[in-house]
Amino acid sequence: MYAYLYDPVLRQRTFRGFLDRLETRLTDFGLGGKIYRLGPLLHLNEIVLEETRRKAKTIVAIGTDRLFHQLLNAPNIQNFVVGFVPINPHSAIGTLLGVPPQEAAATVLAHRITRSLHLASANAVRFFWELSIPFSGSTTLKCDDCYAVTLSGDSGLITVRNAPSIDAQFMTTLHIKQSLWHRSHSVFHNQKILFEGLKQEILIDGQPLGVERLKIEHVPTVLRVIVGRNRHEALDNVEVAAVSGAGALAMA
Amino acid sequence: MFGKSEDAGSNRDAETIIGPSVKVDGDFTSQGDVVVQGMVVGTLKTEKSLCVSAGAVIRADVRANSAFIAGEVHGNIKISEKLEVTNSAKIFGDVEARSLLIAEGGVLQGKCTMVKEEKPAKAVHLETPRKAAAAAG
Repeated sequence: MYAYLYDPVLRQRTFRGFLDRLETRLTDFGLGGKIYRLGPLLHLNEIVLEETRRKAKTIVAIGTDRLFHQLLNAPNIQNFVVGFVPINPHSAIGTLLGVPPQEAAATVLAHRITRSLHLASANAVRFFWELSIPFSGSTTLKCDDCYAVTLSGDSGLITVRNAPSIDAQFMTTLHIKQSLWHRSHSVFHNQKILFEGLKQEILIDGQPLGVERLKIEHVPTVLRVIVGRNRHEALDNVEVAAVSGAGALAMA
Repeated sequence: MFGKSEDAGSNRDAETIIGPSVKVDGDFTSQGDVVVQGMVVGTLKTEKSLCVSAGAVIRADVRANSAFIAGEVHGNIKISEKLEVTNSAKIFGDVEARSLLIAEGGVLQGKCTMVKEEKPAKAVHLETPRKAAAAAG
């Protein structure tokens, strides 16, 4: 049983043709389900709880990367297989998952290749791929409660990447600009990171977040996600699910 | 022979790279290869190889399977296999290794212990009294 979450931006007239084409393709593939049009009166968390009661198997987010990020942070989301139909041709999440934009994603949903992603959290905000933390001057990270890393330079970027299919580790890359012509990079692997005194906005899976103190660690949540053939290689693990689909598309 | 590049082993394969403007303070442990180009204070342990680049400073006790040192180390070094010290290296502390190679110009100020390869003990067959009697008779 499928549940489709429509991003509030899809209310715009420009997306009407796309939704018609997508719904036709999903019907042809036999991937019918209930449609929820998100808005001020209909919140994503309530829908996920409702679908938990209805015992749906798959929730598909149709919209922007922001909607997918919100879905990751919904309660009980680990009980579902999650799909994504990006509307933006340059969707970063779509590229990582190997899902083409708009109605072409229906084919990926029909193939139903799934991967298990180990989620991580940054201050209780879940993410599955990467954090980007810009810094300037001197910054300190405390890693694994064992050691501290102090960086000094004009400016730089810290990237913390979750390795979704590798044993609960982050790959932290530090790109530091020491002068106009001199740059360096460092790489660490750790399981827990604490930042303090952050001054600039950070990006969590492409979504902005402004905090001064940041704690990054893994959470005991594994999310099954439908991926395409062109997915990022880091998402590959052993699990492959069979093709399935049933029912007609219900028009709300 | 001793003039080879300080990057013994590609940086790209290293699990951990501590860059030039980075300082690590505390107990650092790694399962893979480590390259140090900055500063480490505390303890440094890895199960694989350690490469200390020229200009790097380590003020820590070091333990690794093998090591290539071109920088400065203030602390004791314990290496399971081979320790290679280049002409730009300065080590102030005790060193223990199975195999040691020091280039001309390299500084080692401390006690040096070479770990001997342990030969497996010979098997001793004990005869039972009956067998001994049978053999004698």
